Amino acid sequence: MSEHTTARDADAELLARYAAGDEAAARLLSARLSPRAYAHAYRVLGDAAEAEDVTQEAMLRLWKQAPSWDAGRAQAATWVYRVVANLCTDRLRGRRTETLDEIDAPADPGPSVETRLQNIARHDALQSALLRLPERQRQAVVLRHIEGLANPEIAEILDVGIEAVESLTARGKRALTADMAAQRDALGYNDDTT
Amino acid sequence: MMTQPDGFDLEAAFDAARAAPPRMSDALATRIVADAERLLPAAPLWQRLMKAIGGPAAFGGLVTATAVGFWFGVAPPGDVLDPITLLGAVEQVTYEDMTDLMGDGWYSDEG
Repeated sequence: MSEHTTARDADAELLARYAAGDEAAARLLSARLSPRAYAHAYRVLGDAAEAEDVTQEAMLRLWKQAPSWDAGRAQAATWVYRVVANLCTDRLRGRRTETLDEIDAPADPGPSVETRLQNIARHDALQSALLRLPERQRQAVVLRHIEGLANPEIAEILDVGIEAVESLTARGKRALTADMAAQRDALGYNDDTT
Repeated sequence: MMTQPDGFDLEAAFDAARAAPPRMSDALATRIVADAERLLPAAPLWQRLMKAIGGPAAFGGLVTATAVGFWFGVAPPGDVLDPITLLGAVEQVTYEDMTDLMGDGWYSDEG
C-alpha cells in the first residue's frame, strides 16, 4: 500500500470516527490537515491573519460535512485543499475590489507599496515572487512544487483538467524564474552568486 | 546558492520553501479543535452508555457479572441455599440449623 493511500485511509477513518462522536479523532485529523491548509493559504495570500481565517473556515466546513461524508467520493485532504483554494480566490478577488476602493482614500502615511514589497522580497524572495504571479498559476505552482501534490489531485482541487494544470505550472515557473532573475540585483543576491 | 550564471535557481528556492513551511499558531489549532468539539456529532446511544459505564473493560465486567448472576439464578450450585425457599421455610429453621450455617454467636440480643 502506498504512503498516499495509507494517508488517505487514515484521514477517512479519522473523519468517520469524528462523525461517530469521537473528539480525539478531530484533534488528530486537525493535526494532519490544518498545517497543510494553512501553509497553502499563507503562500497564496501572503498574509498570516487571512491564512488563519481561511484555514479555520475550511476546517469548520469539514466538521460540518463529516456526518454526510462519502469516503468513496472524496479524499479529506484534497477536499480541504479545494475549499482553501476557493476561499483564497474569493479573498484575492475581494482585495482587488478593496484596492480600487482605496484609490480615492486619503494617502497612506505608511511605507509605499514598493517599499513594502521590497522588504517582503528581501525577507522571502520566492514568496514575494509567488505573490506577483496570476492567482491560478500561483495556486498551481504552490500545490505542485511546494506542497508536492500530483497533477491529477491539483486538477481536482482547482477544478480544471490535467493539461490545464501542466500549463499553469509551466507558465508559473517561467514567470517565477524571470521575475526572480530580474529582481536579484535589486535584492542583493549577487553576493550569493556561485 | 541563490543564483546561477544563467538565471535564478528556482528548484533550490522550492527546496528551501519546502524545508521551512509557514507554521500555524497554537491559537489557531486550539480554535479549530474547539470548532470541532462544538460541532461534534452525537455518538450512538450504545457508545454513550458504554462511556458512562466506564468504557469497554467496565462494560465487559458488567456483562460477565450479569451472566454469572443469571446462571446462578437458573442453576445454582448444590451447596448454595435458595433464598426463596429459605424465606418460605424460615419458620422451620431452628436455632441449631442457623448455628450450623452461620457459626456460634450469630444471634445476639444487642441492637
